[in-house]
Amino acid sequence: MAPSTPLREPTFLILTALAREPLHGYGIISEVAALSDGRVSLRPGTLYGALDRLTDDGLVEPDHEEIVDGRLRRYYRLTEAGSAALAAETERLRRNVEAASLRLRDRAEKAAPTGGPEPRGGLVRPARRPRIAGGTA
Amino acid sequence: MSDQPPAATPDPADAAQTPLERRYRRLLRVYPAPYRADRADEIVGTYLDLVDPRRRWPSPGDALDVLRGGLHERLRGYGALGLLAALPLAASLALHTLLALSAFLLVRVELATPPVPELPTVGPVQTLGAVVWLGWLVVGLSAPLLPGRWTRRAALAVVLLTLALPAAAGLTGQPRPPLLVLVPTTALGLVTLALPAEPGRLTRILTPLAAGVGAVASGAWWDDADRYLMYHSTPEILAAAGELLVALAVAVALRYTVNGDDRGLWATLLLAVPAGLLTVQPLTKHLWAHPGGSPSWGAYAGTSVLVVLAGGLLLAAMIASRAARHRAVRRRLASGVCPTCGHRPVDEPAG
Repeated sequence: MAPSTPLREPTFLILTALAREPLHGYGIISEVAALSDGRVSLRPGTLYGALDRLTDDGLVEPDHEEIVDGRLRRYYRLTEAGSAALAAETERLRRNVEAASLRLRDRAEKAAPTGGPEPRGGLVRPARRPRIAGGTA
Repeated sequence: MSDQPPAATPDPADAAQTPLERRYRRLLRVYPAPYRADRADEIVGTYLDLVDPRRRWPSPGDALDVLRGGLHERLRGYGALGLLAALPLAASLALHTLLALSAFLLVRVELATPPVPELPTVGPVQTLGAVVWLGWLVVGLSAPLLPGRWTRRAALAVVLLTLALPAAAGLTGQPRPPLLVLVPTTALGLVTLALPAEPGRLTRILTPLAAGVGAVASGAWWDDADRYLMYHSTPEILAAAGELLVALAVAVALRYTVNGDDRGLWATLLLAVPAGLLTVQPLTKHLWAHPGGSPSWGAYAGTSVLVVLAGGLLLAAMIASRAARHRAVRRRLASGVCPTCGHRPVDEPAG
């Protein structure tokens, strides 16, 4: 079931990490850190809580297991519903980014000296900030 | 052949474990046993992948992460994850109660000239408590502007400062606020440690409201200008703050319940103990009333213990009721009956 509310940033990053190929816990943590330039650092307890919730929601499912250096690694993959949820969220964010970019470009053009008459103050409404969900997974 | 029983041999799997791995496995006992049986190897393996192999003990951060994960999993098993979702809401309400109380206690009590001139003071303020109230004012007023993790760290610093106050007062011989003020504010402060990562709409609404309530309450336009100038004359102000907190939590709970969200209800239960501790003085006089004298410290301590027990029981009863409902739903799902309407689908005839 695809969620109707915006995804929180860690959830978005976990789904993004799994979009290319199935990953195990350590792989997901490393990939999320790389995707966020080290800003989002998941710990295993938080990650597995999020994976359980995403599995309950049908967005993620276990793929296969392997033993490496005596340690169990369980891989997770994105389901079709997970892929749809990630695509919907990406589209929502893309629209927000486009809207913000357009407003910023307009603002820059208005601020640039053109030699013409000054725009009348108070007629231009400021661009609304795009709302991006944050917080824990 | 010897009659002696064979010596117990260590499990080869245990013997192969490093001390660090054994310690992580010990920590993982906070998870429910069935979950641990299925997932412990995987979770411990991930922790070991992440840490320096020369390490012998899990870091405090990892220990806290395991505890949080175990609590999350247990509440998930009880169908009571609403409790965790309610923590940021409860924390916001607690922080703004502290903001209003701190404004009152700092302006009305600490900065006032004590009506009894013989009482010792600490420079321009009455007690060392002024530092704590100033700390909560800074934390509360900056909460809408700062990321949640900064506010949480600042809140933790003020909680630790409050806890250290009795010892500091004892060592320096300076006056401090009574424990009947410090205990409930510490309880509220502990709840604020669950503040959300980003300040929400509630924080933006409550900050000016709480500051306004504190300013109005501490204003000099009381009918009786000598009232509430000392800590021992403020029990009704603390009780009013507790009642206001419960009223606010119930109002928020009703607002959430209309949308089918039980977060407000959980937040009200989480705040029951701090709110109850704010009312300990009038409650003690009511419970242990005896003519011609004020209650003993033992009576106040007994009432505080009763408040904590009652709050804990309320929370436990709510979790138990959610667990019973969760079990019933799972049983119905397992038996193929619709958990909402009780409809049992008729088997389709073969062919």
